[in-house]
Order: sequence, then C-alpha cells, then structure tokens
Amino acid sequence: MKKMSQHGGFDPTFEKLVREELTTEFSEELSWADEIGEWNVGDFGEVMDGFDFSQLCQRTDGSLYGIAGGKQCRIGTPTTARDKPVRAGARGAGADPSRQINKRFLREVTTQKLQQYLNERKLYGYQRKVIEAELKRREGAGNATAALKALQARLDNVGKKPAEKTPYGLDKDLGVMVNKKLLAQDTAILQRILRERSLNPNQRARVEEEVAGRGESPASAQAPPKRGALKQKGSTKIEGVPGYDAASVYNRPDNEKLGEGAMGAAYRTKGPPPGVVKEGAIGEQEAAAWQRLQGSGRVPEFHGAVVSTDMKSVEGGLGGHVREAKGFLGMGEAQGKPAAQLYLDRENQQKLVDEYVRTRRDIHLRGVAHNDMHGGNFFFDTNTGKGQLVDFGLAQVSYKAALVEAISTFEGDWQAETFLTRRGGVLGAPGATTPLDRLEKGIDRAERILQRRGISPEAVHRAGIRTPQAEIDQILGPMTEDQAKATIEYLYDGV
Amino acid sequence: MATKYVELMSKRKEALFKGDEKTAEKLLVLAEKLAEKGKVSDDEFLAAAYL
Repeated sequence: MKKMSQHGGFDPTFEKLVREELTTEFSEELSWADEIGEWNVGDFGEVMDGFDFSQLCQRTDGSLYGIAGGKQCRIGTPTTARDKPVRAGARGAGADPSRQINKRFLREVTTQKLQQYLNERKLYGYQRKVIEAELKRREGAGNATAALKALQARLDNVGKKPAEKTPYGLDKDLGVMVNKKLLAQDTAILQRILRERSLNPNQRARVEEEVAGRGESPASAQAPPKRGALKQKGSTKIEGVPGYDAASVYNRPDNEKLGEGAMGAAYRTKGPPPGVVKEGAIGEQEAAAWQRLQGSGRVPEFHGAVVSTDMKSVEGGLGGHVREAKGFLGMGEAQGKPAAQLYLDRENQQKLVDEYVRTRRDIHLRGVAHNDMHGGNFFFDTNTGKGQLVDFGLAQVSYKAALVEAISTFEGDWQAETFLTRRGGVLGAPGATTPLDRLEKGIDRAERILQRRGISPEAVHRAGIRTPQAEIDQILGPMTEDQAKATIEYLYDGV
Repeated sequence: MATKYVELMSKRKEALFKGDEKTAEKLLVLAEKLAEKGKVSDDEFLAAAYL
C-alpha cells in the first residue's frame, strides 16, 4: 500500500471532491459535529470519526482508504490513468476509465448523458453524489430561466391587466404596507392580517399595538396555525380524559412550544388537564399502548388522541416494524427528569438502574413492548425514586413482542444494553441480588422454556426489538399470547 | 423553533420508523454528546422525549 499524504502524489482533485462533498452533503451534520467538538458523520456508508486527510492511503488496485477512529475505511477509488485496464468484475471508477468524475467531465457531459450515467453505470457513492449535485444545479438553472421568462411575461402585461386586489384593499404584489391607511381598517381585518400575512417584527408590533389600543386582544392572531388539522371523517378519536379533544388543545393560543422536529411539534399546555400535546407522526399502536399502561404508575396520564385513519409506512429505508399516521396526542408530564439529563451518585445510580429494570417489567407484564428505551425516554424522580416512561411511538401492544423485548435486554436491544452499561448496571457481583441480577436469571429461565417449546432463543436475540409482528409470530411459532404472558411472568418472577 | 437536539432525536425516530437502525444509532450518539456537553435545555429534553 502506498501512502498518499499531502507530500505524496495523490490526485488533489479527489481530495477536493471529498472535501466539497463532505461540506455540502453533510454540512448540517458537520455543524453539529463542530459544535460538539468532533467529526462523526456518515460518509459513503461508513462512519468517519476524526477523519484525517493526511492519512489517505492508496492500494495498488487504486482504492483509497482513510484512517477514521483508528480503523481503516474505504472511501473510494480515484481514476487517474485513462489507459488502466478494465478488470473483470471490477466495480466503480477503476472498472471504467471513462468515469473520471471531475469538473472538466461535468462541464463537458450533457445532462442527458449524466442521467444515463446515474441510471446505467456502477458508481461509487461520491461519484453518484457529485453527478446528482450537478444535475440538481442544472435543474435549478432551468428553473431560473423559467422564472426569468415568467418575469418577462409579467413585465409585458404591465398596463394591460389591473392588479388583483386583496380583501384588505391592497395590491397583492406589494405585500402588506403597514401605514395609517391600513391601520384604519376594521379590527377583524387587522387580526386576519396578523394571522395570515407575512410581517416583519416592526410591522407586526405596529399592527398588534393598534389592535390592543382598541381594547381587543391580538391573541387570536397568535394561535398556532392549524397545521395538518384532521378531517373528522378520516380520523379516529382515542378516549383518555372524558371530553378531551387533542386537536383543540393543540391549537390553544396560550400553549408554550417545547420543540419541533421531523416527526412533529410538542407544546406544553395549561389544559385542563395540564400536560403536553403533540402533533405529527403518531405510531400505529402508540395510543393503544398509553391506554393499556394507564394505572400502572409507569406512564403519565393519557389525555386522549385524534389519529388519521390513513396509517402508512414511513417512506424510505427498509421499512419499519410499525406504521404511522398524522394526528394529535395529549398526555401528562412525566415525573422527574430524563435519565439522559441526570448525573447521579453511586447510590442513586443504582436506584435508577433498578427502576429502569422494574419499569421494563411492569410494561412487559401488561403486554407492551416499548421498543425505544433509551435514556431520553426514561424519566427518573430522584425525590421519590420512581421511574416513568414516555414516547410509545414505536411500541407494539402484544405479549409476544413484549417477551422478545424482555429476552433481548442484554442482547438484541442495543439501547437497553448501552443504558445499563453506562449506568453501571453490573452483573455477577458476589452475592448481588439487584433486580438486574434477578432479571438475568429470569431470562435464562425463559430461554429454557422457549427451548422446551422448540423455539430458538438465538433466533429471538437475532431478531431483537423492533421486529414486525408477523416475524415475531413466525419466530415464536405456535406460542399463544397467553403462553407468552405466562412466560413473561415467569421471567420477571422476583425482579 | 427546531433545536439541534430535538431535530436529531426527531430524525432518529424517523429513521427507526423507516427501519434504518444504523442511522438511528449514529444520530442518538450525536444527540447524547450534545446532552453530555450540557447544551440541551429542559424543554428540549421534554420535547424530544414526547415527539
């Protein structure tokens, strides 16, 4: 292997491409990574920890390797020799000398040809991304041309067609001009402007001041937009607290926003009842899991949910174990703080681990597999020593799924393994009788039961948590829900 | 406003809905590092837990 450091002879175009790709494709992750002081970004299907470009190496077959996290990771193959022979069965750029993806190549090749490359050629990840970026850039340029034509057409029509008027008597194209004339409008119109139009902070302040001066509250204008409001016809209401309507509570103007992400938004609401209400993706069995665990003391109060009947798998990936639908869900606030936020002394740490194990016991005994028990979802109250769980988006309501999760605690549920390892959950200490130790013995007992029934415990571990119900049914064979429940009871005996 | 922690955890859950365990694991590691550095507020923890 020859080392291709900056002092070596490796193709600088390739390094440039890699750098460009990292900074464009992963710019968001890089900014996060920069903030936390290190790189840990996905790259071409590999994890790159503290990637060091000075450590670039090239093997004799042309493959480029980097050193990431102390390990070698392959990052691609630059093609430098046009006359390099094509190896039988070889993949990537080295297999075809015409695929040297650089600026000159991108400049000279037509859009149609680039598309053909994407569809028909075997390309490395970086090559594919560079071509896709180029196509996207060209598409953008096309849009710019179209926009220019549209603008020209509008200019040609100046004077021919009267400008459309908004209900507020303003030229739509001019936007909202906050002046004396506008401020003289009816209060209802001003409130509507606050609600519907895009205003800068100064404009908003002037309109709000005018509305408030008339003795009216601009509050109605500040209500969160009714994003994704569900048609009652296509939704199911899941009862929690009688009379609770999660959609109405979500749209209350005095709600306090907690946060928003790809899966929706969460607000703290004064109620009644006070708690948290969220809008967005609701798991297939999320509300059912909340309902089933009411009274267990392991979850906050469930207030109610409205969920679309249009349940579907999230697009992309291999397909998850549960589907989701848009909806609203209201619940109480959990006691204590997420374990991820807690740094405890040894004694409390042990209590936290014990509660974590007992919480798993209690939900499994009720036939719920949480499937996402990391430290952010498990709340621990240091005053009462009690633990609670939230976030049942990925949950399955089934004794068989609960049995799989219970058996997978040390193998097959990496979140539980990580949690217990980090929190000092130690097994096998002399004379130890912690819930964790008893759980380990219980899992052994349950595995023996499975073996007697002709079920392979290894298959259960291999499947692990978040396995679709159909697959669980296949692995556990003829085992019924009642038998799975009895096995869980046997597993957690004494925990 | 989306915060980094909430966004990471939300994207992580989206990945799990898609069955993409590898991405989910990476995102959880990033999010936990943010938390370890004390860059996550109580509300952000709460939002991420409930979303």
